Formats: sequence, structure tokens, C-alpha cells
Amino acid sequence: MMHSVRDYAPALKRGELLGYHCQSCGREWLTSLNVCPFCSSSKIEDVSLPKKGKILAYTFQNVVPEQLQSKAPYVIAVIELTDKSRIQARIEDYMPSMGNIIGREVGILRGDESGLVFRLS
Amino acid sequence: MKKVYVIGTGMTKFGKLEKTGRELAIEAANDAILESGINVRDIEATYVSNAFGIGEEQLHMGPIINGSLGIPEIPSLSIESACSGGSAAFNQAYIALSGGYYDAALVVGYEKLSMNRTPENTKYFAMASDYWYEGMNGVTFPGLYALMASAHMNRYGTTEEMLGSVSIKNHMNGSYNSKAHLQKAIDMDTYLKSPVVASPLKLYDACPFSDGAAAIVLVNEDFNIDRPEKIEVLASARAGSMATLQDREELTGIPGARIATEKALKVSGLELKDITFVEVHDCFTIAEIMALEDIGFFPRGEGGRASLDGLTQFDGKLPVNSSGGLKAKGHPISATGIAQIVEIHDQMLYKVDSHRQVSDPHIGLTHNVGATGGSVSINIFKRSR
Ligand SMILES: CC(C)(COP(=O)(O)OP(=O)(O)OC[C@H]1O[C@@H](n2cnc3c(N)ncnc32)[C@H](O)[C@@H]1OP(=O)(O)O)[C@@H](O)C(=O)NCCC(=O)NCCS
Ligand SMILES: [Zn+2]
Repeated sequence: MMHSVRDYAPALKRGELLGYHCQSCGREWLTSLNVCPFCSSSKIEDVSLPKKGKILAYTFQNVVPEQLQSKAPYVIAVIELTDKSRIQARIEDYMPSMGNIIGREVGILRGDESGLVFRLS
Repeated sequence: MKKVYVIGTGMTKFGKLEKTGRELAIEAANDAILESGINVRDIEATYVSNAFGIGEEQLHMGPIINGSLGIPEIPSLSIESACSGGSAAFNQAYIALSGGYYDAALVVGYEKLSMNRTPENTKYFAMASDYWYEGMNGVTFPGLYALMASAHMNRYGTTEEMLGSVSIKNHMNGSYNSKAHLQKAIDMDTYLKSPVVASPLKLYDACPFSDGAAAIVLVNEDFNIDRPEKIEVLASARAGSMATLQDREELTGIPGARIATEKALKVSGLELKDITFVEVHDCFTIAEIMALEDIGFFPRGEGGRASLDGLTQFDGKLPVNSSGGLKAKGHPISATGIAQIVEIHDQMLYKVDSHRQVSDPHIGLTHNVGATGGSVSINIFKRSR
């Protein structure tokens, strides 16, 4: 049995990125889907995704949703993990003086009810 | 398929308004019916779009609108498709009329947001993202478009000034639109110095939270109307993209916009060069640049340069967002797609201020995006005699 989207957050709290692996083409990804987004195969299984990657795109958000006011401002980044799967995460140790961080390496810091947090390594 | 015509339009002022969503929706609907000149009893169905009615504790507005118009017995359909709900409602009406199921229909889109503070609206809007894999981490809508801007700038060298040129143009057009939310022109200095909302996007890259409503009366060729000029719907196409931004091959464009454009061109038998003006979804300046590239008016990566060079001004080679766009006209979510069609209609009938009237409003296209592109609508219109 493959995990459902409800299993994602509890896994995050254990520090695990619970994703999927395609037995047909070998690709991996995080989003809960019933078929492989790369080859449409339904032969997919659970996998723990790697915890390191690099930044593909990022934004430093000054205006944030109500529930995260206490953490503002913070970075949201699209990260490509070492297995080529892509995720979005918050990055908490960024300072504007660091300038452009596209291409920088990052690693998982924690996961909780406020989402997935990575840090610059 | 039967030919379908836009024969009446209504649009309230956009902005932070006193009126309730209900009053706004009814006002726009009434105005559209009055302008169409048809008997309200000839309308066979109403298509109503709204996204955040829950904020006023009011859902299912269709029967309320119909009752107010004196036609409580006709069916209504409530439609939500994030920021493209208005176009989705229009498309449903188009399908029913072109197929001959109905001959006349009313389409209404409205939104009421100004009772909420920015952090609340920011939270609600983020609900249109993929919650577990986007929203939960704290990304906002400006943030999602900022990620696309970050990728676009990194890949193509798109600059802040290019983004700024979109904002300056749309504010200029909006300053001549008496219904626009933000009716003021700005200069590059004001743009560059405006506070950062989600880098690289600033206050003047973003559309505001607006209240407002827009409505259209549509009929098909079986409905007898006699008038010298008609606005014909040549195509109404919708398509989709992966909802989750990072699951798309590229962050620098919206796949659904390309697919919907292909469909619309195929159905209409037109080529892009036949289109004489467009209203595109500029919820953020980067979105206008991506829209022009996705539709194919400019090669990938060259939309920003085209804007900086003035090609998209109301008197340029391809007038884009002569209404002021979402940026200046405002973005009352579910009203937006319909308001775009209102602008096409008004331009075609030379009813807009001369400072933003395009010179050849012959064939117009609307491009409306839901969320980050999970839903996209492309409609094409032609003025026919
Ligand atoms: C940009 C944004 C953060 C500004 O919010 P804010 O700072 O709380 O602004 P306020 O509503 O308090 O308005 C303050 C002033 O700025 C103006 N203003 C607000 N938004 C503006 C905008 N986007 N552009 C220019 N001026 C704006 C207001 O008119 C007001 O001016 P006034 O004091 O002269 O009346 C907010 O409008 C926003 O998040 N927009 C994006 C909406 C969105 O995501 N839509 C979905 C798109 S897919
Ligand atoms: Zn596969």
C-alpha cells in the first residue's frame, strides 16, 4: 500500500521526506499522485527522499500568511534534491546580505505543523 | 456549433468599496441586461462565479441574483476556479449556447475582500495552492509568482526595470479607466523604491485586493437580435497545468496557457498575428511577461524586453491590458475574467477613454489564469458587422 497525503505530515515530524519512486522509469517525487508525473506509470512505491539539494529559485517574503506572522520575513525556495526530485521549503537562516542564493546547497532542518524547513549548508 | 455573441456588459467600480458582494453582483447583472436591451425573461440560465463568499457568510448567490432580477425560476450554477472563475463561468455559458441548449444566458463574477486585513486575505489566497506541498510551508501567492520571477530572471536575464515597465504601463492605462481600483500613473523611481512584498516582487509588481463585479449577457445565433455591430466569440478554450509549481518541468512559464492558446487558435482558425489587442492575467508583472511568451507573441525570455521597448503600450505594436490590467484596474478574483471581456467589448465599440483606446480593436484575446496556472482560459473575440 502506498502512503496517502495524510501520512506526509507525521513523516515530516520524524524528519522524513515521504515521497514516491517509479518502478518503471526510476524517477522520484514528493507530491501525492497516483501515477508517475514523468512517465504516467502506476507502478509506484513509497520512498524516503534525500535530505540535501540545491536552490533552483527563491523568494524572500515580507508579507506572510496570518499563521506565520511570528516567523516573518523568511525565504521560500524551490529545491532540487540530489535524486532530482523537487520540493518547496522555507529557509530560516537567510539574510538579505547573502545576496542571490540560486544554486546554493541546502539540507533539511526540520518538519512540523508549519511545514518543511531547510537551511543553507 | 452555433455562433455566440456578447450583447451586453456591466461592471461596477473596482476597489475597496462600501457595497456588499450581493449588491455588487446584482448591480453588474442589472447593467448587463439593460445594455443588452433584451427582455430579462429571455434569459434561460445564470452562471455565477465567486471564490471567497464564505468571508461574507454567503454562498449560492445565483438564486439571489435571479430573484432580484425577477427570474427566480431559472437555473443558476455556481463556479469557482481560483482567479479564473469568471472565465470558467463564461466558458460554461458559451458551451451551453454554442451547443444550442440555451439561446441566452447571464454570466456574473463578483468578489468582496476588503473586510479582511492583508494577512487574512494572504492566508485565504494561499489556499488555492497545493496545501501540503506549498501553502503549509508558508508560501503566499505573491511568493509563488516571485519563485517564477526568480527563475525567469535567472534563466533569461529579465530585469527589475522590465518588470517595472509592465507596472508603469498598466498604471498609466488604469489612470484613464474610471472604474479602476488604482487610478494613478507611476514612474520608474516610484516602482523601484516601492517596498518588497516577496522578492524580487514589490508593491508595484502586485495587483491589489479588490472588491467588484462584472457581468455579461450572451446569446447565440438563434436569438433574434438586430444591431449593426456584434461582438462574436470566436473561441473559448480552457486547459490545465500541474497544480504544484515544483512539479512542472519549467518554472518560467505556464504550460496550460500554451495548451489553451493552441486550442483557441485551432477552433477560431486564426493565427497569432491576426490578434490586434489582448487583456492578459497580470496578477504580478512577471505574469504578464510569461503570458505574452506562453501565448507566443514573443519568444521565450523576450517578453520583458518587449515591454521595456514599449511594444505593449495601448498605442504600441500589440496593445496589452489597455484596461490597466489586474495591476491597476484591480483583481476582484472571480470578476476578473469577465472584466477582461468587458474591456474587449468596450474597446471594440470605441467606448473607452481616448487616452487608452487602441487603434484597431478588431480581434481581441483574453488570457485568465487560476492560481499559478492550474487552470487557464483563453477566449478570442471578433467585431463583426
Ligand atoms: C501588495 C499587498 C501586500 C499590499 O497590501 P498592504 O500593504 O496591506 O496594502 P493596503 O491594503 O494596506 O493598502 C495601503 C495602500 O497601498 C495601496 N495599495 C495596496 N495594494 C497595492 C498594490 N498592489 N499596488 C499599488 N498600491 C497598492 C492602497 O491603495 C493603499 O493606498 P492608500 O493608503 O493611498 O489608500 C497586497 O495588495 C497583496 O498581497 N496583493 C496581492 C494579491 C494577490 O495575491 N492576489 C492573487 C493573485 S494570483
Ligand atoms: Zn515513471
